Amino acid sequence: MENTKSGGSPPPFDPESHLSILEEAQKVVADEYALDFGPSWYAPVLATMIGGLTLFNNAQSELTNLLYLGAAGLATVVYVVHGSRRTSIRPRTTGRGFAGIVFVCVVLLAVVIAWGTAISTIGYEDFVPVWATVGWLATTALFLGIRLALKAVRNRRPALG
Amino acid sequence: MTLHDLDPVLVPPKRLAAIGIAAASKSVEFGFLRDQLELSDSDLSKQLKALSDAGYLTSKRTGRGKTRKSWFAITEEGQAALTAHAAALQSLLAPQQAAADGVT
Repeated sequence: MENTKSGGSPPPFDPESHLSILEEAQKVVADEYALDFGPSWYAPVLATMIGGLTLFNNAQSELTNLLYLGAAGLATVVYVVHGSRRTSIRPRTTGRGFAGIVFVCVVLLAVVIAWGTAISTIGYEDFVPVWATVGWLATTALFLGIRLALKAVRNRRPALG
Repeated sequence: MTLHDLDPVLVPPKRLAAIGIAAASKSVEFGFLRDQLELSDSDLSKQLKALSDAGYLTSKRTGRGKTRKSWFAITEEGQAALTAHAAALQSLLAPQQAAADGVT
């Protein structure tokens, strides 16, 4: 707000700054959607989701398959339900938002491929459980790193208005 | 176009930013607006009330107790007012740009 209480005349109206507020508002919404990773505990939940799905695909007994699928399913439900409740903005579909979704999908796919490659290189019997734990920790660390990077970018954004 | 063509409801920058965010989203939560605009709850409530009273925003409450949230969405009237306001701002800017182009 302009300060007109100091005795001087109010500053001249600047249409350019008002237009830039509108542009920034659009960016804020798109960035919020793309840069909001969520709480740090989402990292192990996502790692469980990816690890569970990859191991489920490779496990050799039905019981083990079910256990991995159950872990992945539970993690997915927790992530989706909590994520939908904590959101503070419902964005319109934009090109920028779509690019963000594509980026997330590419990262998730890359991690899944890394898991699959590790399992096929080491062999399923040798992979579980030590390497699976290492993979889970590495994936959690990766997501925590991504979260930190997104948070740093988000925090650099100045306030609007 | 003159300053009188601007929508007086949308002239305060904080209010303009709030409706700008609402226009870019399907709906936006009170806390998000407060954090982005760095306003106190009471100040933001005043700005949102002015927008709602003008028919530019609708509000909806979800949840109970600690999970209670207030959501705001832009109305068709608000979208039209914002479009007209942005066009008026562009028109005000045009002579300045033309003058700047003439100088350079």
